[in-house]
Amino acid sequence: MEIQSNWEDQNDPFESGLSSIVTSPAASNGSAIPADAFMIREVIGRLGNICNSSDISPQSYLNNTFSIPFESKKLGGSNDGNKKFSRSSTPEESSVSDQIPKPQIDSNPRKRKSIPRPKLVAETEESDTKRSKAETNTNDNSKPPEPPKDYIHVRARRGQATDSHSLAERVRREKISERMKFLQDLVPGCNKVTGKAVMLDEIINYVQSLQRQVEFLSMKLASVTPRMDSNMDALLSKDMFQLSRGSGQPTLYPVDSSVTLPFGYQQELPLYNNSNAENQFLINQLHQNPSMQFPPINEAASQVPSFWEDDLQSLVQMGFNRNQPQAFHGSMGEAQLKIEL
Amino acid sequence: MNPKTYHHISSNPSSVKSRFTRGFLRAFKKIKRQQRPYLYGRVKIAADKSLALAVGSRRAWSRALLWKIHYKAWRQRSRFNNKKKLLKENKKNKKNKKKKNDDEEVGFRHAKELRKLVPGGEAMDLCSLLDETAHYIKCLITQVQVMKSVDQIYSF
Repeated sequence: MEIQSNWEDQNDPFESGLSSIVTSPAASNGSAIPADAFMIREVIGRLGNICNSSDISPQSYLNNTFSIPFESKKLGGSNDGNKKFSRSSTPEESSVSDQIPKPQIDSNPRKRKSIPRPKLVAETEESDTKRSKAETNTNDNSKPPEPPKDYIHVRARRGQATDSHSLAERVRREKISERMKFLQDLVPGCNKVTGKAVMLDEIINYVQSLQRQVEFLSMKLASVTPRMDSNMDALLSKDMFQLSRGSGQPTLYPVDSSVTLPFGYQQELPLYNNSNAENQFLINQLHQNPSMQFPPINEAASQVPSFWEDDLQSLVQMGFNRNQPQAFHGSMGEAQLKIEL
Repeated sequence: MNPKTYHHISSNPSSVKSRFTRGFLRAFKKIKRQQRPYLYGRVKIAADKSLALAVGSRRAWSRALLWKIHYKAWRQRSRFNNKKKLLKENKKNKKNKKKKNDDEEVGFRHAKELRKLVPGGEAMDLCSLLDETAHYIKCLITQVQVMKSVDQIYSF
């Protein structure tokens, strides 16, 4: 209905709504019944607007309770709106605003501005069940200017613009900042950084470095010699166990050479002798603290790209300074990779 | 390969990490057994593929990654079969579809770069892009972890 669809579009500040409510009962006194119905629906609409707007002053509350029983007495039973109003003689905001959305739902649903107050909890829950897709302002909603049948409960703050566009904008912005915060926790070394641009820079760097690491590791793995399968299976099963547990299990095999972590980070890793404990320590390190590799990313960020851009061999030698020089080009010599078990 | 060896995985055997580990190890061993060239590319593809499979179709980036891999494999196969016309058509189609996203808020340059990095990032709006980035980072971390430990085992 036209009339019902109108009231949502009236984004008047509630002061004007108040004044209109005070005047409208008086105006409807001597008019015909259809006009009364019209006035009542308007009143309903404006009341609903007031109830649902950000702060309801006690004065407006008084006015609400005052005007409603007046209306119901005057036009008892003449139309549907009145029947609902007879219930609302108890001055509760929740009941008033409760009835307002119900006739509203059949018409075009719009964006409703409601507050999840404790009083109005019943109202929002009830009306949520009625709508096909009601979303609160904490849920995911990627398209605020939604197709019909979608609702967004947005807190219309005081003193801010209440038109739908800016509300949608605000919802979007809040979501984006929420996700940026989450990313900040995820990416190491971003706690001190403020501002979206720098944060995004850090994120981009981090993703790039992770991808490069994957490339590097796959290259390394590509040149590894496969060993006896039965032994490998045992080792791999142990590895998976450690992966899942993250804690140390005594490893079966002694370590001859030192373990290499050639990423050029300024991470001091101990040299490894032929001891199981230290090897275990390394594995624990790897599994439990993957981010240990990355803390100097900010300082090393400028250095790392140069590492990667250079010849791979130089990179290898840089990382292997303290360790036995090992080459993992396939051509260089898989013989050098030999390790005795 | 004996599947019994994997019964050790006690905590959350169906996590992304364990699924990826299994898939990757399987593919890796298969690659090692074969004598074909271009090992490095294969290993990398296997790693990415098994990661995307482990994540499944829940995430947009994993779907995009899987699609990319399949598409590249398809392209290679059709190139091998000399079907060049199809390739040219596909290239044109790809270039024409350019969706304009509202990146001005967060910095146009950064968002563009991020979209290039995250698979499937071109077609997402900023909100879901950040979401996908977070999940992608988590999965990349597990991928690197697993590959490092596999590498360790193999290099002893």
